[in-house]
Amino acid sequence: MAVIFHHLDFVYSPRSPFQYDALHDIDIEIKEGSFTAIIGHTGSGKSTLIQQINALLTPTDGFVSVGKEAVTPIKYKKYLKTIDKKLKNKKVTIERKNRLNSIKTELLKYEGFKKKSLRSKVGVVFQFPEYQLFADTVLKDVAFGPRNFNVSEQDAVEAAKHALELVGLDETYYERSPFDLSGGEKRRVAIAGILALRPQVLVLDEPTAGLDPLNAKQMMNLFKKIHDGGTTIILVTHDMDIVLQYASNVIVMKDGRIIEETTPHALFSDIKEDYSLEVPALYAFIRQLIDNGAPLDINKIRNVDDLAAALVTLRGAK
Amino acid sequence: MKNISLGRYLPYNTVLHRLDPRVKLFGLISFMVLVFFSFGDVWFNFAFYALVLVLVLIALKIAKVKLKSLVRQLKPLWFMVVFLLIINIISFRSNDMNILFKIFEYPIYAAAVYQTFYILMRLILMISLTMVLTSTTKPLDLTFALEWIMSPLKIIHFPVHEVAMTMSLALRFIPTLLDETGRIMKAQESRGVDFSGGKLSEKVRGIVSLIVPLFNSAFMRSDELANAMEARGYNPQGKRTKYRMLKFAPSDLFGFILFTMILTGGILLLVFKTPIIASFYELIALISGLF
Repeated sequence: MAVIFHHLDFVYSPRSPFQYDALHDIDIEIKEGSFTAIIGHTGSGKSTLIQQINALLTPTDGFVSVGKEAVTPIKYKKYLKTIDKKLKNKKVTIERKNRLNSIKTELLKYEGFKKKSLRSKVGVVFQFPEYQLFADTVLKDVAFGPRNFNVSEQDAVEAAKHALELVGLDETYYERSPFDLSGGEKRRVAIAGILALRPQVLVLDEPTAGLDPLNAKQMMNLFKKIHDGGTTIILVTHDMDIVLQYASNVIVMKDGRIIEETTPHALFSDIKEDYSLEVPALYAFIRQLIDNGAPLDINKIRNVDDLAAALVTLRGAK
Repeated sequence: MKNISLGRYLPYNTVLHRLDPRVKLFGLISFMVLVFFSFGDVWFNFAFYALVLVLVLIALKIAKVKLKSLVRQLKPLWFMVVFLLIINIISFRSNDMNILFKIFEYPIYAAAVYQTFYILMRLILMISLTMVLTSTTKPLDLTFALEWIMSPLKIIHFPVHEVAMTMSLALRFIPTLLDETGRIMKAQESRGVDFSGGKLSEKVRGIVSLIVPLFNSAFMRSDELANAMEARGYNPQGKRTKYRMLKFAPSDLFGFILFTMILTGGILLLVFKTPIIASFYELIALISGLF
C-alpha cells in the first residue's frame, strides 16, 4: 500500500505563542513494498511526519493518502469546500491558488478516511514502545490491538501467538507479566502488539534505540522478514549501518522539509556537508578497496556477508 | 489534550509578567477578598461585581489572556450553575421573600435566583483571576513567592521548605506527565483504542490501557528523581542558598500600593455601606432623571 504526501504542511499549536512550524510542503511518494528509511537531525520533523500517516496528527494544509484513503485537515468534503472557497477568494495569492489547485486535483482521486480502518492498515511502533504495555499477561497485551478492531477473542489470541512467534518469544512467555521482562523482551512484546494487527504499512520510529547490538540485529532481521512478506516499511533511524544494510530508499529531512530522496548507495557516495551524517564504516572500507583497484560493484554490497562473498569470488576468479 | 491548557504560563513580556510574584499573589488574595464581599443590597451588589469584573477584564487584557480560552475554562460551569439553581430554589430561605415567578404553583424566590447569580459571578471572577496569575507567573516563581510568604511559619516549625519543594516538584512534573499521557495515548490509539468515541466497555478498556502505563512511569520517574536528588546530596533540613533571588523593584512597590488601595477601597465601601448605598440610589435616580 503506497503512502503519498501531497503538499502537506503541519503546524503545532497554530496562532498561539507556542506555534511551531514542523513540516513544510511535504510532497513525496513512499512506494508500495519499499523499505524506506527517514533520516535527519532530531527536530527535523521525522516523528511528526510519521504521525500523519495514521492520523494521530492531522495536517494543517495538504493531505496524506494511504491506499485510497486521504487524511485531510478537516473532513474530506468540508476540506474540498474550503479549498473551493479559497480558490474563489480574490485575496488569496496566485501561488497559493496554484498549490490549492494541485491539492484539489489530487484529492479528488481519493476518499475520506476512517480512523479504525486506517489504523488497521498502518501500524506505528513509537520510540521506546515498551511504555505502552499495560495488561497483566504478555498474551493479553499483544491481543489487545486486534481486540480493538472487533476481531473475535479467539482470532485475536491466534494473531497474538503468531506475532509473538515472529518476534521470537515462545509459549513460556504467554502468561508472564510484561512488567517482569527485560528491556529487550519488553520491546519485543510491544512490537508484537503492533504486528498482531497485521498492518500493510509498518512505521517504525527508531526501533533499535537502546537495544544491545545482538538484540538490535535480530530486531532488524525481523523487520526484513516482514518486509519480504510484502509489507511496506517506513523506518526512522539515526543508524547509517541500518540504512545501508536494509533500506531500499532514503528520505533526508531537515528543518521540516525533505531535502533529498534517494537510495542508500547514492546517498553515501555523495555526502553533503549539511546533512552531518556519518558514512558507514563498511561503505567507507569498500570505497577504499575500489580506490585501491579491487573491481567490486559497490551497489551490490550491503553488509559484511555480501563483502566476504564478493571478495571470495574475486579471489576465485584470479 | 488541547483542553488541558488550564492556567498555562504564557511567555509574553507584559507589566503583569514582570511584576514580582509575591505582589501578584498579594493582589490575587486582595481581589479574592473583594469578590466575597456582600453588601446586603441586590443592585449595589450587582454594580460592585460589575466594577470588579471590569478590573479583572482589564487585567486579562494586560496579561494578553485570550477571552476565548477563558470562556473554554468556564464552559463546564453551566452544569454546576443549573445544579446550584435547583438546590437554591428548593432550599433557600431569607427575609426577602419576593416571588419572582411561579412554575406550576411552585414559587421561585427572587433571592434564590440572585444567590445563584452571586455564586456564579464569584466563580467566574475567581477563575479569571487565577488565570491571570498563572498565565503571567512561572509556576516555579509562584512557589518561591509562596515559600517567602509562608516563611514566618518556620517559627512554629511548619515545614515551609518541604512544602514548597513538594509543590514545585508537583508543578514541575505536570507538563512531563501531560507529555507522557500524550505519548501513551498516541501509542494506544495506534493499537486501535478510540478515546473519544466507542462503547462504554471499549472506553473503560482504553482508559485502563492509559492509566496503567502512566502510573508505572510516574512511579519510575519519582524513584529516579529521588535517587538523583540524593546523589546530589539533597537534604531538606540543610541550609540552602538560592540561585534565583526575588528582587523587589520600585514598580513592584507601585503594584503593591495599587492593590492595597483597591483592597482598602473595597473595605471602606463595606464599612460605610449604609450611606454609600443610599447615595448610590440617589445617583441612579439622578441619572434616570436626566433621561
